[in-house]
Amino acid sequence: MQRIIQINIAKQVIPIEEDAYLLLKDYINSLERQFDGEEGKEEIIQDIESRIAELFSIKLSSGAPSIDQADVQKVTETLGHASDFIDTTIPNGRDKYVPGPYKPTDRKQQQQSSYTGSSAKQERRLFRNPYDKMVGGVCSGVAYYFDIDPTIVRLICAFMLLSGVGLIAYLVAWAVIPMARSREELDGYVFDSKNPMDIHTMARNMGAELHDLKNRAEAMSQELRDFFRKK
Amino acid sequence: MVDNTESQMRKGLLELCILGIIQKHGEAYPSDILEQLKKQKLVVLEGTLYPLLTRLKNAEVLTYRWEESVSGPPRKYYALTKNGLKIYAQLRNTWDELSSAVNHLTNTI
Repeated sequence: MQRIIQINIAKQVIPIEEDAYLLLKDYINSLERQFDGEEGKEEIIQDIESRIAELFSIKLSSGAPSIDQADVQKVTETLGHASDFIDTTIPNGRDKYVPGPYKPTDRKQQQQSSYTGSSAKQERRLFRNPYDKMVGGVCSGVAYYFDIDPTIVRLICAFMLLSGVGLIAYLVAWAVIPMARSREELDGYVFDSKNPMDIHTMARNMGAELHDLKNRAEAMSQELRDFFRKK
Repeated sequence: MVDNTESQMRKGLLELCILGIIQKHGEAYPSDILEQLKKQKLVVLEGTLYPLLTRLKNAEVLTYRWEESVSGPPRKYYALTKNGLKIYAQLRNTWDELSSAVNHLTNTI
């Protein structure tokens, strides 16, 4: 996932990926440090920004939707790093500035915060859990939702089944609670409100799951048979 | 070692080349100059051009005017000042002397 922002560079509005923007900012900052104290610093930076804008415009006019990290890297390589700008016409040369290496940790943090910022605050929803299920994943899903041990939920469920009402309640829950399609969805990272359950998908899902259940029942009875044969 | 010497030579002559390109075309904007330099495999790094142009402008060797561009940011067109023309002629003269001296000294025959 990448956020695309718009920047104004040398009076050009350029769409650029956030990562790429940070990289570009680092680069321009390193140039500013390089030319610090030099007469005409502002102008030099402006001219370089103008060239960057020109190179980006060329890239965008070739059909690219936005500027990415690779584009920025290419541009900085073309222009050269701040430390390469040491001018020999100035006697004694100025102190060599070694550009701060591209800081992956900072960027990662930023990326992470933007990720969590946009999606992790979604409320967790109740799903049946396909990654840990005995019958329909209902008990496991409920357990996951409340963050408790699924065995406890299963035991409660089993007692309810004995009373007769439990069976109907379980079947209703099975039919009504959607199956999580991914672990992220189970954790509430994906919120898909456009896709409500309709009777067709419900029926289709039930068919597939019943088939799956049959296979697991067969496997279980095989296990039980083996268990008693050994005795 | 050889790399360093070569790059020093290029850097030293960059100023003369830039002035030469501008003089030849009457005026030129940085990307034009870069293209000309690249054609002759003389470019060091694009970034080195801009501080040089600004210094030459501040030293009143060069002057510039803005021109809007259809496809990108506005362009700075550089031209030689009167003073610049004089300096270029002087540098060019020095170069001619130097190159013939160097050729003379390094040629075996």
